Amino acid sequence: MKSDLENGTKEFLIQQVLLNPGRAASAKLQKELSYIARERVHRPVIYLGTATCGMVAGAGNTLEAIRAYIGENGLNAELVEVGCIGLCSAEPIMDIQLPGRSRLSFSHVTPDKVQVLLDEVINNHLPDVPVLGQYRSQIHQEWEGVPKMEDHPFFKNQQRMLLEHCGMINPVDITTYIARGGYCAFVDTITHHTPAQVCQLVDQSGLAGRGGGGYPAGKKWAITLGTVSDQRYFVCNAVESDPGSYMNRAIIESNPHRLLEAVLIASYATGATKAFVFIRKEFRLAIRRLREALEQTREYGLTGHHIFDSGVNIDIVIKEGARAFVCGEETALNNSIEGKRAMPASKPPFPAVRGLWNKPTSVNNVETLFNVPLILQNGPDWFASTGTERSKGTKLFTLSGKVRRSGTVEVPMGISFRDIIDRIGGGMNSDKAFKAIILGINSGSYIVEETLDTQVDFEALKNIGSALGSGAFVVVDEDTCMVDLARHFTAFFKKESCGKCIPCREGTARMLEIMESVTRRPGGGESLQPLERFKGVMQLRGLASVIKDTSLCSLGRSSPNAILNTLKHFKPEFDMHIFERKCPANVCRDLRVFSIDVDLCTGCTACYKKCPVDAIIGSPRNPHFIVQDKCIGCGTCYDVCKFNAVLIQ
Amino acid sequence: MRGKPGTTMDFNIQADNRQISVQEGETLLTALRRNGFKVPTLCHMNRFSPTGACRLCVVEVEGKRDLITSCSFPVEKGMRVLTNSPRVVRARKSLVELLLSNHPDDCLYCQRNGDCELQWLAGEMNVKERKYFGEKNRQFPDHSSSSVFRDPAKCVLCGRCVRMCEEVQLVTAIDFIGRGNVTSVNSAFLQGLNVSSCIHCGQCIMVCPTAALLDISHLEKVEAALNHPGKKVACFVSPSVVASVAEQTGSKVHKDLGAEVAATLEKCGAERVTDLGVACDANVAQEALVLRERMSSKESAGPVLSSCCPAWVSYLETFRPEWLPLLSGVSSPQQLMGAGVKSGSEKTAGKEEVFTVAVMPCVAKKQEASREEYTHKGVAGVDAVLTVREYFRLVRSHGLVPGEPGQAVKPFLQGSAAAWKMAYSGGKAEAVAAELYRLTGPHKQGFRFNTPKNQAARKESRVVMGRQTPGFAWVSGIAEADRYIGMLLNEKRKDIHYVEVMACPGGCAGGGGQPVSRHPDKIKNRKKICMEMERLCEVKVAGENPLAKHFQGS
Repeated sequence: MKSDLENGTKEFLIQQVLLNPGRAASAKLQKELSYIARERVHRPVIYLGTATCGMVAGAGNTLEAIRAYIGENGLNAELVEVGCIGLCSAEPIMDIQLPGRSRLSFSHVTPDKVQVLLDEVINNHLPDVPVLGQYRSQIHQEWEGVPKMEDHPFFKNQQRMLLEHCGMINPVDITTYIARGGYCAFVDTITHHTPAQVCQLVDQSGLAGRGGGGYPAGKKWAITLGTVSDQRYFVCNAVESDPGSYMNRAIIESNPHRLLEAVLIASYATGATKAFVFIRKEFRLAIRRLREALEQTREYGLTGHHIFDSGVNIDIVIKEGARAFVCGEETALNNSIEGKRAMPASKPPFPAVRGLWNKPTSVNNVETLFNVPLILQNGPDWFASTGTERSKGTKLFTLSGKVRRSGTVEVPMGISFRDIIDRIGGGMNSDKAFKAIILGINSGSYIVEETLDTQVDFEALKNIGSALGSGAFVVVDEDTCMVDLARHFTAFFKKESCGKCIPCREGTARMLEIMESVTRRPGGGESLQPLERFKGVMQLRGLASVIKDTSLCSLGRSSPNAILNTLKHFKPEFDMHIFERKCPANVCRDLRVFSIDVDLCTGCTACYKKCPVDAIIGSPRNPHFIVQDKCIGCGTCYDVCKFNAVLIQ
Repeated sequence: MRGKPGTTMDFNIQADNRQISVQEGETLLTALRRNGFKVPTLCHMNRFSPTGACRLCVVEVEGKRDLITSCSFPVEKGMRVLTNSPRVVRARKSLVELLLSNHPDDCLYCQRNGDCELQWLAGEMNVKERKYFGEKNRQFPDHSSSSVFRDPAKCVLCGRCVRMCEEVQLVTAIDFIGRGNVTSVNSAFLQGLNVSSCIHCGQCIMVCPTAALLDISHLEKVEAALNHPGKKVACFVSPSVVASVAEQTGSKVHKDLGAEVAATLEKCGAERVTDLGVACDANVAQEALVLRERMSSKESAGPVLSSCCPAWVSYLETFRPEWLPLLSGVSSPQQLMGAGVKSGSEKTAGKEEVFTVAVMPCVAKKQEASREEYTHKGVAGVDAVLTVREYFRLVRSHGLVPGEPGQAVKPFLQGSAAAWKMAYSGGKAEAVAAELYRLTGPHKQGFRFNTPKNQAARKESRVVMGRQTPGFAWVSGIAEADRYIGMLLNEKRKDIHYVEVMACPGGCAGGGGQPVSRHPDKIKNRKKICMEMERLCEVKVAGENPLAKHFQGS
């Protein structure tokens, strides 16, 4: 019975929607579709965000609690696991949609809240707990006194094109996706456009690569299409390993079908018959959902041989990449797919001309691809209407750090960084002063107070000497030591260098040693002697610029950015570390000096007992004293003191 | 990389205020070097695809933000290149300094002292003081192999050995392992070379710019034997070593060419120094017999594959055991000689032990000498194998100058022209053909062994011998050999009866035991010397050498 229904739905969707050019005109069809799309429901539907961010926040337990509730009360309701709506700081987020009423959304739904919430809402009452919002709806009765989701400050200033379905629909249900307009762009494309036309449409829209380089996607595809070859490939780069960014993972987890549709279109446009989605092995959930989605596209005949009798053959392979940052570099990625060691190769030849197995291969990033179905659905002019003159469309950021609200955000190009922090992020999360935005380790760029009014725009960022990077957006305040941060980034590059070229392999190790000599206390033994330390510091800038100048791939070339930018924007902080041996943010452990205020110390011996190196002397009820020669600066005494008697200098 | 004539387009680019003529499609490095510019490289290898790993060949190109590597960048119209701008020089110097910061400072104790590309570069870049201080990698040397010694601490990770092993020799015994600055070139799972797929050809040593790859030294063993009162040292010197020493020292070709080599060895204390040429003749003669037999048998499985190259034999054992029955099965000249000398001494000498030393252009011979099959009652036929490099070191350590004029006690050269032919690719096939021609003769038509003029084309030749025209082929380099023989067997070709295989490109003239050199001309020169020596030989065909008969049946 169920299988019949499913088959019926499948046939209906294929014949009436995908292959029906007049699909938009028929009101009856649209109404039927709205049920499949869960815009209208027959029975209560409970949605729970179970993307990685939700699961980390405890959505697993909430899910169990909801299941138990439904089972105990014999409730005729549907439970749907959805992806991430973007507001990760409010997870777990649970939505409830009753027949005929608009969808309600609740944040921070812990298992203990489930009972109260469902009891009230299922009986058409609003519970006492604060509601995140309700979705605007023209066909349903709205809840009184509940703010609209779109008026929520987090969403109000965003322009959600790529994220439109994220957190709303069941990611692994192809019917919902098709009912909401999915795959129509692909089917229309292969039936109405030639590959060259698709390249031209995408080029017209002004879509630029979002992986960091900003190369026009349409141009790249046209090069691949125009290169004479018996075989072409398409590769989707889903190796998002830049620390501080996870929006690609989030959108794959929330809407894998959009990615598959984009890969299909891109493969068609570049003349590729085989496409690879190269995804990080760590993205377990994303891989699982993507595989499930791929299986559904096969069932619907959207991938494979002779798609919808059009003569188009496209096979998609999901390839899991092992743990290496360098796999995100397109030539290294291609090597990895070929089964070789992931090492970058010199460009030219560019992969678009000679890539996988020496065949023309276009490589695009997930975020870039997410735009593609929209462009083909709504036309290049519609896409180009968003953004600035040079940079079109929207940009995803993973907003995190010391802001009130964090998560995946989508902003139109041209918005200022200040607006993102203040309006979307809700400002700093404490009264500490803003220090910088870190736009990803990949670009190593910092946005500081003076450049905070810069627009999100490829050109504008270039003018202030930074780059858009991968989409990380980490806000740090004065509690963060920029020198220590630069050291941390350098350590990351040292570890992740592939080892091929000299500047990156040896240079990052040497830079790290110099940075460590700055942030650590000069000790005996193997550590550097003062003269050598100063020599290293003197060479830091020169070394960094040589690495930037000569490294083979963009990973190596960006490795000294963090240091160069720290030297540019935070020179006084650097100098303080070197000359005064002090860390203004009190982060560099070795440079912290602790002392005990004799007036405040009650002699409770708490610090005395906890000190791991017995550096504190004193007797009960008498003020204690820290022996500086023994102190390792761990800060345990500072943490345990209840009387604020331990001071940091 | 030049295209076909007529399709290339010449144009000019500007390099350091000079207009130079370049061809479309070639790399900037090729163009610059052809026009006399000096561009340092470490990872670059002629005829290999560029990897761009060492970054030393960087140049500044107007309009490009970063420095670009000339080895991988194709020339473009209107290019303006600066090959020695301050930015370029500073970058190159820093790169060398970075390499040095992670390199053991033991040049005085290093075998490649004075012959090391890193040392040269440091000199050229005017590196005067240690610029970067830091911890060096702790890597452990690998003594496990019987032929090749690796010291990863001295490795600069240029990847030349990796490419050689993979692309030319198809073996891939070594590759990059690890990430970041602890990356190393190592065999799989960091196990020793002895358990890897290494075939001991030693081509990795030939391309290594530093002392990260060396031969396993037999010098100490030989020195000990030379100084041992109870041991008589018998040396036999391969003709290709004679040619190589002559080429290295610049001696003119003359009838008694090997005498200098023999004299130096005798001065070092060797009891007897003989020419390996006799054993070469014996090997050729025996292989011709095998060939005649294989040709006369009805059920022919395929061509006879030469078995004188130990690296080739190792390759077959490891990668192509199904082809082993095709091997001729004749012992290599070294082992024929070793067994001959040892069995001869068993009969005559009483108390004194004979210590046999082969001087070879090969490191695989070290492994061959240690094989169990080549022992008799626990006694090895060949006790030690010296490479040409080790020979030079031995001679120099005895205060002698290699190639200094001197007369050995006896006339040294005893081989025929066939022995000299074994030193280069294609020679042995011709020698075997000549011997087969003699065996099956007399024929009305004279012996004609045509070599194709275009060396890049397939190397095959057919010799008319009465009613038969057996086909002979020769390949060098394992990748080429594997491809060629695979093709022969796949196409079930019956017209090729004998395939001479040399594991090293160019044959023994380019062997893994030869002096390390970056000039491809060296192999050509050695081949030229051998061909001139052939002309001087009185005996032209292997089987006609009366001395070679002693080895029959061994």
